[in-house]
Amino acid sequence: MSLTFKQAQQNIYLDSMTNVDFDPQVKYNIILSPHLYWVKKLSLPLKNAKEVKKVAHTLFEESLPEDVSYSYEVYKKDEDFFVFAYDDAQILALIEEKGIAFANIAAVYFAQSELDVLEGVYRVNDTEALQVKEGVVVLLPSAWFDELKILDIEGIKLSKHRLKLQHFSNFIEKNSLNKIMIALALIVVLLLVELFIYKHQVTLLAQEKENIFSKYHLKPTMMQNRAILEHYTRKNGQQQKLREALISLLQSYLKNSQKIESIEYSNSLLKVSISNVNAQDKNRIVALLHKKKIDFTTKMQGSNLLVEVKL
Amino acid sequence: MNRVNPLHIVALLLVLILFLLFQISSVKKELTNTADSLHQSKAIALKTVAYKELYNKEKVKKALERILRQPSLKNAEIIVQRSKDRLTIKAKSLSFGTLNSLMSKIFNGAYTISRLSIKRIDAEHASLQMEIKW
Repeated sequence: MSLTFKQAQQNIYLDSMTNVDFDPQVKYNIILSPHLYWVKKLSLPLKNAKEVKKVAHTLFEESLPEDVSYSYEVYKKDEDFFVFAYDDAQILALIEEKGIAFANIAAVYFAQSELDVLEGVYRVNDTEALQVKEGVVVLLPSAWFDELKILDIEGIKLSKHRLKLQHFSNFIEKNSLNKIMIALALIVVLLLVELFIYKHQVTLLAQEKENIFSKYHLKPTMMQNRAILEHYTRKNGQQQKLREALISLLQSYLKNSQKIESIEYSNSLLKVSISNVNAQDKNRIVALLHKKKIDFTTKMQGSNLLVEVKL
Repeated sequence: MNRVNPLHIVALLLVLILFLLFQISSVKKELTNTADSLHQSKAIALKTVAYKELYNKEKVKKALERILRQPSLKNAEIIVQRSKDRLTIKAKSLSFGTLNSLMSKIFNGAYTISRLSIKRIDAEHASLQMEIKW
């Protein structure tokens, strides 16, 4: 068993005098009064509605006001084309004025496409009546007729000739929208180019990195390479410090009676023993080593001064 | 006839722009990381190569042999012990001149001194024990 929910639908004939008791649970099929569109029934040497639509604006060139942006719709019936021009903004404004939420609109139709099968004259409001003349649905003053039929709007079987209202036309013109679309498309192209350039640069850099690895015979991972460099740096640093510390000690001015008795270096510890050193001489040697920024400790072994440098 | 709402196209283009901006931002980060990694690799490679060249086993061996063959050490009683990874120089008594000459050359070269012992014997001589690794 399948569960489907179908919202109730209602047909309404829309003109300025229509009263709508809006129900949010209902979807509305709106049939536009002929007041809300221009229609031409034409026999043209063109194959289909699509081709006619391309030239539709030229068919209304002299009959429509120039300051309004119109949309066009075409459908073919028998051998004739029905060409429509309508103002989206005007229709949308009227729908809004009647209190119908746009979300509750099921579809919008022209009276022409839905009521062209009517026979006789039908009352649509207090002052107007509908009649089909030579296949075209027209509005006439109801006062012209003695007897008017009542239009059963709910009983109408709707056609496939729906029109799509362009909401954007309320606040933006088609031309402007086209310009915006072109501008956005250009931005997209520029961004794509930028993205391509960046990706290409990433590829080039990755390739260069690979070349460096193979040229200098580096290990596969940076961690291994860092460890190797660290080993060499530590080794080199220690040897530099050993040399600097020894040179500093050997260059310290000793008195004639003072001699370097021994120099020992192993396990990163340098020991230098200087003979015949008194407290005053010790201070002088210590001050000199401090000046050379060497990290050391001293201790006296009898008259010998033992200087220890941890490398 | 179905007509594509231009607003949908605009919305699609805007989404596409946002997506591309996000992609560009990611690729920019990737580019920065790759460039950093490249610079680091280059620096590490150059330093490592320089150190390898400096502490090259064969070069160190040859240079040490050259030092030990110099005329000033010919008359000195120096014992040289060679093993796979090190060289040990021992001398019970060296004149300060000879010792000075030897140590100057060792200190000025890139030799890894792992052990050193110099002890003064008298006013003009000292004993030497030195181990150099490679």
